[in-house]
Amino acid sequence: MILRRFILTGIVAAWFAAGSVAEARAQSLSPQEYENQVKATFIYNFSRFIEWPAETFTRGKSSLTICVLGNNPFGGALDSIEGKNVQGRKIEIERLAGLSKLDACKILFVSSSEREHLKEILESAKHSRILTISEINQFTQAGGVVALAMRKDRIHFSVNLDAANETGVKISSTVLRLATIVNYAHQGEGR
Amino acid sequence: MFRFRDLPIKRKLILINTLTSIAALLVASAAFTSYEVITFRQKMTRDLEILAKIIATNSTAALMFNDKKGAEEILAALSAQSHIRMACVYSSEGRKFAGYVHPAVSIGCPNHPLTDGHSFGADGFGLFQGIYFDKERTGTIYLDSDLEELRTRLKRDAGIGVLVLSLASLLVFFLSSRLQRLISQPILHLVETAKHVSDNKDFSVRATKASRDESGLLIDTFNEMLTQIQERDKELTQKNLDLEETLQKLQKAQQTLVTQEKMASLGSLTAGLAHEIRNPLNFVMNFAGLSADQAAELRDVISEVRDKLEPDLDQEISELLSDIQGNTSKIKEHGDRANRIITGMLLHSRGVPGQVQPVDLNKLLDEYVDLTYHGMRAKDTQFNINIKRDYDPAVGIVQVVPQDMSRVFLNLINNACYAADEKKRSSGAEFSPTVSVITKNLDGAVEVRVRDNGNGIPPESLHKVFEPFYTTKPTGEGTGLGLSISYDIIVGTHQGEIRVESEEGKYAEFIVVLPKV
Repeated sequence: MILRRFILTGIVAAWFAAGSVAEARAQSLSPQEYENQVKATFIYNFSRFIEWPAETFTRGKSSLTICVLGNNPFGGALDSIEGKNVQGRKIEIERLAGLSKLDACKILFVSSSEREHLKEILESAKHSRILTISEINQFTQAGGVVALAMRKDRIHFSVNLDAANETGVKISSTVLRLATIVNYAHQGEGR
Repeated sequence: MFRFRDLPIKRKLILINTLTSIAALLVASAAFTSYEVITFRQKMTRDLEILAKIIATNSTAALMFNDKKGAEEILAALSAQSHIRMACVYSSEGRKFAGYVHPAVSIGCPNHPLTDGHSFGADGFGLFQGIYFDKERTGTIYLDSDLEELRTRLKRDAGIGVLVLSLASLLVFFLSSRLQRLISQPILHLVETAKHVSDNKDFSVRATKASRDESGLLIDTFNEMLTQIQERDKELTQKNLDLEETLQKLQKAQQTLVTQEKMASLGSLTAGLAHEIRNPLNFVMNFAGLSADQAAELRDVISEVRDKLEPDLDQEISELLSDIQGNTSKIKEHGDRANRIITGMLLHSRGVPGQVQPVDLNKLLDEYVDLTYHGMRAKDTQFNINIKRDYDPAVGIVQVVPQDMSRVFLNLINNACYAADEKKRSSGAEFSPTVSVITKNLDGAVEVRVRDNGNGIPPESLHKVFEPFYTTKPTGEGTGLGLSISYDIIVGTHQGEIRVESEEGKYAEFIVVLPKV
């Protein structure tokens, strides 16, 4: 059997390759820190599957600006993705206190602390065609684009396709396949 | 035991053609199959690589978002591809992330990915391929496919191959069965002809040439050889015949030579003998004559004195004188006979060479037929016989010694009459004794036949009849020299030929052939 041969020849390589991340999170990171890290990575990875309309970048800076509104839920985790390259653009992290600087953002992470002002924020984001992400419950039902939820080491997310279309971005189908799809019209599970 | 080289040429040709074609077809199908296997493996590898790429692309997000369930759902879609035995996704760190295993397969995904690339095994092949996103390696995918499709294809190819091979073999067999005749036919024909020649010793047959190739050349050469053999055979037969003829001639000549020699020696013996007897015989004859004369003289003297004698004495003297006269007459008679015999012997042995002169042979013959007949009648008044004469006028004048020839004719006719008369005496009145005398003009020669219907000559005596002193007549009637003398005259003096043909109890025929010049 082929497999056995693969195993025999590759057994040493496999030994070294074995789960360094798992060790890292088990030994050096607290559960909270790990969760933050995962969320930050999710945002980074998610951004990589998104295609922005060409005119998005002509009106502002050419860098990909990820804005965080409200209390920062990531700790230092976001710093680890700052400066990384996504589709030839550098990631910049902006921490916003209000909605005034919203125009520069490409992605807006809405912290759970902003739950009270959700309607207002989404209105502005929609106006500025910004992709919104949040951990707030019923975020997509309220008109947000992507909602996250952490369950058992893993992030589950739902996407409101109508809201995504309004922002003009295209989300890769490979990602959408993993997401729970939410619409305005019939707000059921679409997965 | 079956041996290829002992097969008939026909079979050999068919077998060679068929085997060659099958070998060629086998090589061709082996090459084709190898090519098929190689290209199909390449195609399978390419297909699997594409499939791996699609699966990789589809599962990139799941991998990046650590969505095992999502990844497994994507992989599970591979159940539609029945040849995929397993599909496994590994994280960039080499951890097993998600897997799909076909229900019929008992083992699971390998725990760790190996180096990228594919590898073929006996019943399947596997492929490790990197999963990339934005040129960044995010993991490894492993696909394992069975070789069922390859096997099916090979089976199909083998089936087609067997079918093509059988059909082609049949076709080749059929064609070569037909076409082999082009080569085998002339050879078989040649063999048949050669067999006919050797079986029947018949060199006149010829093989028929059907083509102008080497077999045609072979047939030409064969025919040429036959012609030569035929000519030699003919020559040999002719030479044999010549040789046999020569041998016969030689034997005949030898026999003649022996007979001649015998006769010559006997001849000289008889000549001396006859000469020696003739002298005392002359005395006997002379004194016998004298005695007769004196007896007559005595009778005259006595008749003058008869009246002085007593009648009884006269009577006695007269009787004695008669006796003496009778005795001398007997002596004279038998002396004459002895003289004749001696003359004959001398004539035979020495002979008096006569002159060759032109003679009408038919006339001469006829004279002697008459003479003989009347001679016989004179001796015996009861003698009566049919004479048939058949003379060929074309015989004409022949150069012979007439005294000699008349002697020959006399002998032959005399013998014939004697033989016919003999048979008449023994068989009675209803038998008609006949002697035929026939002449015939031949080319440059004449033939005289004297035939009687007497008792013939026994075969064992045939060769003796020309020997001197051979006779079947009772003592006193033949000298045994007649035919011997005739032989001498015909063969010696006239360079002719004399022979006898006979069937015992039926006939005897003497044939004389004389050259005309």
